[in-house]
Amino acid sequence: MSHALTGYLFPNDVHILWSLMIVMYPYITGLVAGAFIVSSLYHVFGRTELRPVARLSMSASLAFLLVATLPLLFHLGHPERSLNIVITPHFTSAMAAFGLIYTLYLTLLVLEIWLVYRKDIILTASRSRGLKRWIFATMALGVYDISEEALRVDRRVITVLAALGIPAACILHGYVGFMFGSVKANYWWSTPLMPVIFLFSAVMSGMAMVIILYLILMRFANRPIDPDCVQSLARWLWLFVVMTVTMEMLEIVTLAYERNEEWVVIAPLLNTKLAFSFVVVQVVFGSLIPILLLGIVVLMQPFLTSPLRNTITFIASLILLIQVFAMRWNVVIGGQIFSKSLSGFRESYHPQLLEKEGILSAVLIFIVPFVFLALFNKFLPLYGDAPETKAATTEEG
Amino acid sequence: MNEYEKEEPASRRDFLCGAAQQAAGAAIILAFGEQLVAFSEAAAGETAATAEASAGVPYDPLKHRYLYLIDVAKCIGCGACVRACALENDVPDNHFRTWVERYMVSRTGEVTTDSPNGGKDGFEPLLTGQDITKAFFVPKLCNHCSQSPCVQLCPVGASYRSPDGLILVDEKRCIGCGYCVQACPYGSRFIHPETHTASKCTLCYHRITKGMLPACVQACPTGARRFGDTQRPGDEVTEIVASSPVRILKPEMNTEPNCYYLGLSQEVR
Amino acid sequence: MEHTKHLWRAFLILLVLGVAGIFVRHFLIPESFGEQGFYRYTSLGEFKEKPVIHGAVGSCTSCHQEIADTKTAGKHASVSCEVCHAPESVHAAGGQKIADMPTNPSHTLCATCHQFLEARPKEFPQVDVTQHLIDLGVMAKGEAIPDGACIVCHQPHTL
Repeated sequence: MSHALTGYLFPNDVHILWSLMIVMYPYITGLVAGAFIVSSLYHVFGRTELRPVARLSMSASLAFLLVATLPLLFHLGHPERSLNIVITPHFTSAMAAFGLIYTLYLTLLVLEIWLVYRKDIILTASRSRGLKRWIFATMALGVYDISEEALRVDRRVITVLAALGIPAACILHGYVGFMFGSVKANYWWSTPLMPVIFLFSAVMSGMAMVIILYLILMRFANRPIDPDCVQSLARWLWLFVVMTVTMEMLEIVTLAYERNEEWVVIAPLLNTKLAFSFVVVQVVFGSLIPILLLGIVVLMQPFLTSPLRNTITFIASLILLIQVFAMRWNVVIGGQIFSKSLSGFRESYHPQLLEKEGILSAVLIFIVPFVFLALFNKFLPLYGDAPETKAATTEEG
Repeated sequence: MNEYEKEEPASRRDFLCGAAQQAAGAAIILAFGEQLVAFSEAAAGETAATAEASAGVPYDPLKHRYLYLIDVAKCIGCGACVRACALENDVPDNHFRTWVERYMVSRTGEVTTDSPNGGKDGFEPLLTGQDITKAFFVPKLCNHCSQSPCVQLCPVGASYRSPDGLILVDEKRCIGCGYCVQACPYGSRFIHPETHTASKCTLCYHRITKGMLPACVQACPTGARRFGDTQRPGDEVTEIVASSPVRILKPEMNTEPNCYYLGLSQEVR
Repeated sequence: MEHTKHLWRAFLILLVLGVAGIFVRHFLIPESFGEQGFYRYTSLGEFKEKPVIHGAVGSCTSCHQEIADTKTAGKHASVSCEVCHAPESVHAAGGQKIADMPTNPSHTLCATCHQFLEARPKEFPQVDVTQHLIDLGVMAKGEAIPDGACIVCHQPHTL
């Protein structure tokens, strides 16, 4: 007998519980992980052409990490109890790992950025006086050793930290994907592919963000844009878009082909409530167009002028940022549209402008990292060349 | 308001109750007499527990392991259980610790399901425009699963399984993240609009620990809802679950519910 | 090793922060947490303390033996008093009456159980309330059902 959809929701399943804030959370942690991967391409894998964005990507990663908890705090029923997650972490819960992973990753990132900027910090300290000198001296931990030997040790440690940072970034974001992928009650979330998809789209969004930041920063700083750097980022980005989209489609195709119980709710979901945000925004506009645009950059490299390449890459990156946001939206909100009765849809979710978990909160949270970056840039330039790392040096040699 | 009201009730009654109606009434008593027995047995079990409680024996959660039985064929969809639960536990409007669903299945397999206000106000007649061949009510509540996803996923240890086999939420630890609400395959949890913490059926823990029945079980006029304790010798509900063809909801979730259904049809999810 | 002083300082700071964190956390774990499992065991006691609203089975009988006897002899024997009236706690506390027990004469109360519904068990006594009253000539088609229509003929306690 067929279970026709007749629109019955469990009576407790009327509202969308996880709001725009829970869409923001994986979006921001994705940017954190993705930007970090870009810096690691330089520090660990010796992609020297990415040197111009090595500092920027690392700082961007930290800036976004610092606000990653904000959407969660906005969402929690009891934000004042949020530390319970560290005091009594229940480790059978994916969510409980948050405190540990976040702390670990923050430590790694701060250490790495500190080492990368240590020389600048010390030089600034010695150049300035008063409060500024005191602050920068504290940041240098009172050690003013910038001998060649000390910097070589730093470079070695940076490489190790960057290498450790890769699994840490993967865990940070993979765990966010796992948080959804492990909810067996929700057929739209529950798939082992979820952490992998989250991870790849995270790298994609992080790279796109770094490209955009780099192009804008260079324009404002009135500095030349490194064509090799943009070309390389575009190539990496293209690879990750193709892989991400492949996996996103693989999931849907498998669901559609197997026609298990879950397809009974997911097919109408994609056809109705998610038709715009999934089919139009995420797949057609968000995936196909960037693949074509970046394909042009990658395949027609000899025929492109620098400004044209920059423009195409910039547009593709912007679209990808929207694609990843749409993907997070479709996962988080989409998964809550159907009731667990599997026979009815909730009302569509439209966040309000001024509510606690509404659009204004989301926009404000998203602006903060850029403010951080601007402040950071004021004292320690984001575009300064990062020190050559061991891996990078070897590559060059 | 009209003369009908002013009329002498007794005479009216005599006039109305024809012989045919009385015969029908007798048949009904026979059919439902069984349930009266069931109810008084439940009450007897309770009396034993109350005796223990009043004898000053402190409640020991390690000496109980509760289970719940729903006999679908007996449910009349009156919603008394939902109302009693809401009063007993101060359940906010539009949120439900227990609710009743109505299923109407047509000859061609079309399933119409509804649960207006969780069945709290009872049900109105419903015209589906189809040839209804099977129709029934299904009471639902937290299944108090032995392998509950909600407890597994609670990041702070606010949701837990008590030694007597109940899934409870520590209101003072819950951070209100809502992960457990997402994780429950049965829709048994909600975020309380005032406390902002997860809330759910406790099987009336404040009652059962005093030897009373959960409010829903006590309110059920037909014995469709039964409450048992596997640790109590000769417990009838335990016996029925052990010896009858019972089913659980969503067995594919492997949550090992402790809420069993007699006569559950496959349309129920 | 030379030239690693700054690294050791950073390490020391992290170590101090880490140890301080573990130390502070230790004092923030609530008492009784982990006694019987990964939860605050005393919360079980808090659940026990919640107020009881509905009386125990037979609690009405202590004052209303007569009505209880009548009801027990009738068809509504298995219907708890509080289902049609109200929870015991609105009416009595500590064996003393604190307020009148409400009675609900409305036909809607009867209809919650006895209105004919396809999903009700066939053998359960039920009737299409509107049609029944029209058939009896109590009301005309299209009229509202008068208040207390059912209990004029059917006495809930003595049925």
